[in-house]
Amino acid sequence: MDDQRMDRVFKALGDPTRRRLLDRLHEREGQTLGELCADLDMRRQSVTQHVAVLEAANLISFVRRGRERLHYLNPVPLHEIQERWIDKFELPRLRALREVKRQAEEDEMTDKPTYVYVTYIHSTAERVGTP
Amino acid sequence: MTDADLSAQYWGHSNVSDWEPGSTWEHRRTDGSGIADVVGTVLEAVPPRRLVMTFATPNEQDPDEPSRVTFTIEPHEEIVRLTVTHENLAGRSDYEAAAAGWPAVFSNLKSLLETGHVLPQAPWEMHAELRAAQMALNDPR
Repeated sequence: MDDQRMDRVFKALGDPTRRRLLDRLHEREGQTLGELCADLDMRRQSVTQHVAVLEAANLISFVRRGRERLHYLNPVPLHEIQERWIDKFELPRLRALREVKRQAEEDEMTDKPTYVYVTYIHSTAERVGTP
Repeated sequence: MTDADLSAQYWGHSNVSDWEPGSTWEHRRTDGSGIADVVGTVLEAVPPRRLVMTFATPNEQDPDEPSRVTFTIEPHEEIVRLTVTHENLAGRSDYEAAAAGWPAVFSNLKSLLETGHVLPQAPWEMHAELRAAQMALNDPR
């Protein structure tokens, strides 16, 4: 994803109404503009503008059905952002944490372990204890 | 356990000590070399029910914290339960050595007491490499 496209994604996400739109589509995909307006209790013109911004960022797409457009989430840009801006910084730390956990648990197991062995013998305590 | 000649039969080493608390004990080879592969101190001795001693190779890395072996003997009618608890093992390799060694020794002791003979083959032959590697650490240089 180049800078321009990424700018559009962050700009699109930088608005509470547009984030709510994404949430609504996440809850139920394939909604028409009318359904989204009713859901958000907003005027059609206003929702149309927000949808256009999300479409420009490639965060949602639509298919036509007659005169209606059914809107769908496009998860690819969000996934790319996750990889670029979250995983990159988190993975080394997560790996370090996992390594700490693994070593701590291993130490717990191997640190000064105790071995116990039991045998039953047909004999007497005196014969076993002093042979 | 505490008789040098008998322990040589079922253990392949002689356990040598006067078995008084505070005394040292040695787990000596029977090849005449007199080399001790394990040494320690008797901590508790309540014959014939309980014996506690430290257990370390002569070149123990951490002589301040040797492992500790407790034998308990509990009679029940015509049988006894013999338990060895080997605590404070230095790590996984010592644990593996204990897990290989104690069943071999106790099985041989059980056979000796029940039949009058140790097993026809020394059971530790079945982990000869581990045993040889351990003993090599104590060979004269």
